[in-house]
Amino acid sequence: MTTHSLTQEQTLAAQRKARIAMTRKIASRATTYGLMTIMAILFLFPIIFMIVAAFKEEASIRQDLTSLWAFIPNPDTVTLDNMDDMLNRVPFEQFATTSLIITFLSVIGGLFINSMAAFSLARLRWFGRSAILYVIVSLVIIPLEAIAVPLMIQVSDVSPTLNVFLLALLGGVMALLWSILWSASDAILNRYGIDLPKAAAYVFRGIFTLIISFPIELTVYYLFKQSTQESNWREFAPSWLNDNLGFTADYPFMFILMAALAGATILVWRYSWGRLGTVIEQNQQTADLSPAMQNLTRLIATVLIALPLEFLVIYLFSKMQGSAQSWFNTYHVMIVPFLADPFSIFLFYQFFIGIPKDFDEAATVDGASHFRIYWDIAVPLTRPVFATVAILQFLRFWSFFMWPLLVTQGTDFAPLMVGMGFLRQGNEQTLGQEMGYAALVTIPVLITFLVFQSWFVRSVSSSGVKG
Amino acid sequence: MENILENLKTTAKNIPQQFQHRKGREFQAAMLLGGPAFILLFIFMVWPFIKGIELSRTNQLSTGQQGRNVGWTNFERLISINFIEMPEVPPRDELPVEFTRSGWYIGSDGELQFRWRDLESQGLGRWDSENEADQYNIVKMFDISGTYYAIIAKDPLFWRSLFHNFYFVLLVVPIQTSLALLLAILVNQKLKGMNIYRTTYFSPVVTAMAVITVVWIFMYNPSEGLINKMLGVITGQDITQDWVKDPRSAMPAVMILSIWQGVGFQMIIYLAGLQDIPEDLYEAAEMDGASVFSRFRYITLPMLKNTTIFVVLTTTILAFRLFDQVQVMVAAGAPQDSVGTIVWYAIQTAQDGFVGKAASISIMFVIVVLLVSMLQRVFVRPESALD
Repeated sequence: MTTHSLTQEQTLAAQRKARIAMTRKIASRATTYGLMTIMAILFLFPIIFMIVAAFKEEASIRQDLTSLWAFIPNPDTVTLDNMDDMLNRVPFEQFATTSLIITFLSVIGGLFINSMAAFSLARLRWFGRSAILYVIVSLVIIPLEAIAVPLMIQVSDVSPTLNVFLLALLGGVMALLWSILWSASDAILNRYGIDLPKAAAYVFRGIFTLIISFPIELTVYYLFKQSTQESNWREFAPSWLNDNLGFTADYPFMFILMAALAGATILVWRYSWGRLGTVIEQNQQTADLSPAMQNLTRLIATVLIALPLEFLVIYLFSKMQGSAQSWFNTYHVMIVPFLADPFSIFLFYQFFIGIPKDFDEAATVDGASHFRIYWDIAVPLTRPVFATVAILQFLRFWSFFMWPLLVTQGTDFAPLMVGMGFLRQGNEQTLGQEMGYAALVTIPVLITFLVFQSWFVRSVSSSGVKG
Repeated sequence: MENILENLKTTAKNIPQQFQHRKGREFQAAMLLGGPAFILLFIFMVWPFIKGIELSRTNQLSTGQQGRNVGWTNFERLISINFIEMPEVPPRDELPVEFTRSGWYIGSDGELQFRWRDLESQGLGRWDSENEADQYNIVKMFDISGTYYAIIAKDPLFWRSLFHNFYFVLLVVPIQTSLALLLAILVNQKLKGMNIYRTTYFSPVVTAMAVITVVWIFMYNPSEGLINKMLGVITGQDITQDWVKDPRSAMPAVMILSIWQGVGFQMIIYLAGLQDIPEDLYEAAEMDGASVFSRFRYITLPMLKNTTIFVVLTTTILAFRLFDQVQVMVAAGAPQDSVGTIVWYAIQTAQDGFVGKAASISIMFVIVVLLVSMLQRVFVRPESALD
C-alpha cells in the first residue's frame, strides 16, 4: 500500500536473495572454469610431456613420471643431449628438407591449379562443364586409400604417356611463368614511367623474363637432379650438344630443356592463334570461308608456324623413350599426383560462384581476358578461401604418411613422418631422442598455429557446412 | 512486316557467330585454366580407380611382371565366411602343446570335418591350399551352452579388420561428436579467456598423427608409461595395464588417441554452427522461464541439425580411413588381430608384395564406405527435408 521505501525485512530479504544469486553465479562460473581447465589439462598434457621430455636427461624421464616434474622443465635435468644424439643418428635435416619441399610445392602449386580449375567451372560457360563438375564432386568422396595401391603400381612403372604428361605440365607451367613475367615487366615499365622505343622495350622485357625465371628453372633442375642421382637414366643428349656446352647435359638438364621448349611452343601457339584470327578475318581470300574452315586454316597455320619448336620437342622426347622410369624415390611422386584436389576445387567453387557477375561484365567491357578476370578480380576478392585451402592442404601434406611409406625406401626421400621409423630401430634407451624428434616436428607447426590462430579457426569453420 | 522478319533473320544469323567467338574464347580459357587440374585428376584419380578394378582381378606380385588374371578369386577369398557348429572336439588343454592350430578337411566320407591339427601339417588355412576346406581358418570361436560354434573364413584378418573398423566407428563417432558439441558449448560462453581454451582444445589437431602416436605409445607403456603412473597416483594402486600390447585394450587405446586428436576439429565446426543461432531465441526462451536444459533441447539441438549431420557424416568417413595410428602401433607391438583395419590390411598386403590382393581389399573398402554413406543418407535425409 505504501509507495515509499521498503521495510527493513523486505530490504534484508532482497539483499539475501541478491547474495544467494551472486553466490550461485560465482559457483557456476567456478564450475565452468574448473571443468574447462581440467579438460584443457587433458588436452595439453601429452604435448607438454613430449616437449619437456625432449630436453630432459634420459634417466630422469622415467624417474619423473609420477611427479609433476614430468610436465615442468627441471633446471637440473635440462639437456640438449637428446637432440644431439638424435641428429647424429638419423638425417633429420634431410627429412625436414624433403618435407618442406613437398609441402611447399604441393600447397603453392595446388592453390594455383585448383583455384584456376574452380574458376573455369564457376565463371565460364563451356561444353561439358556440368558433367565435369559432377565428376569432381563425386571424386570428393573417394579417399586416397581407395586408389593408393593401384596408384603405386601406376607410378612404379611409368609409361611414356605419364612422362608426356609431366612434360606438358612443366611446359604449361613455364609458359604461364613467362607470360606472368612478361606482363609484370610491362607493368614495371609503366609504373616507373620509363618510356622506351618499342624494340628496346621488348628486349628489356625479354631479358627481365629470362633472368627472373632462371632461378626457378634452376630449382626445378636441382630437384629433378636429386631424384635421378641413383637411377640409371642414361644420358641421351646428342654428343654435339655435350661437346659444345662445356658441361654434360644429363637427363634432368635435357628434361628441363624439353620443358622450356614445350613452354615456348605453347606460347607461340597462343600468340599465333590469336594473331591469325584477325589476319584471317581481314584477308580477302579467307574472310569468306565458313567458320569451320576458318578455324581449320587457323589451326594448320599455327601448327606450321611452331614447327621448328615442335620438331625439337618431339625429337628429344623420342630419344627419351627407352627409359620408362619408376617414379619411386623422387620428389615428384609425392607432389604431382596430389596437386589437383577435388575438395579444394569444391571449396574454391563455392566462393567463386558468390562473386557478383557485374565485376566480370565490367572487366570484359574493358577488354580483360578471362585470365585477367581470374587474377585481378576473383583471386583478390576471395583471399579467405585461399588461406583456408592453404592451411588445410599444409596440414595434410605435412602429416603425409601412408603414401610416402609406399613409394619411398631408405632415407633419401623420406619425409619427416616416415623418417621417425628409422629412429625407432634402436634399443630401448632412445626415449629422449624420440621425444626430441617428435618435438622438433611438432613445435614449428604449433608456433605457426598459435601465431595464426584466427586463420586456422576460420579455415576449419568455413570448410564445414554452409547452408 | 517483311522487313522486320528479314532483320530478325539476319540478326539471328549473326548472333551465333558472335557467340561463337565468345564461346570459343571461353572454351579456350576454360581449358587453359582448368586443363591441368582436369588432366591431373583423370590420370591420378580416375585412371587408377579403373585400373584398380582390373588389378584386383589378377594375382600380381609387385616384384614380378604383369600378374595373371584370376577372375574374382581374390574377392571370393576375401568374403568367404561361414558360421559353423563345430563337432565334438577334445578341450584344448587336454591336447599336447603342439596342437595349436585347427583346420577343416574333407574326411574320407566326403564330409567337412574339423580336427585339431599340429603345426607341421601342410595346408592349414592356407589360401593356396588345394583342398578348399583347408583354406578356411577360424575367425572366432565361442561356446554357447556347451556346444562350440565358430565363424570361419578364408581370410580371417580381413573380417577382423572389418569388424575393428565398425567397432571403431560405432564408438568413436558418437563420443567424439558429443564431446565436440560439449566443448563448443563451453567455449561459446561469454566469459573471459574462452579463446585460450579454444586454442587449447584445438592444438592436438595440428600435431601430425604418425608422430604423436609415438608419444602416446610411450605414455601407454605398462611399467614406465605416464598414463599408468598417473592412474596409479590417482587411485593409489599399481596399474600395469599394457595398453598397446594387450588385445583387449589395444583398440580402446587407438580410440582414445584418435578422439584426442580429432575432437578439436569438430569443435570448431560446431562453434561456427552455434554462433549462427540467433540470440533472440535464447532470450525469448529465458523470458518464458525455460531452464538451461530445455533451452539446449529445444533450441540448440534442432538449430544444429545440419551441422550435426555434416559432422557425423564426415567423421564417419574419416574414421573408416583409419591407418596412421594403426600402422605405428602395430610396428610398436600392438596385436594386429586386435587393431588392424581395412586400410592397414590393404597397405600391409601391398608391402608384402601381393598387390593384386591389396587392390581387391581396396575395392572392398570403397564398397563398404559407399554402403555406409548410402545408409547414412537414408536415415538422415528425411529429417533435414522437413526443415
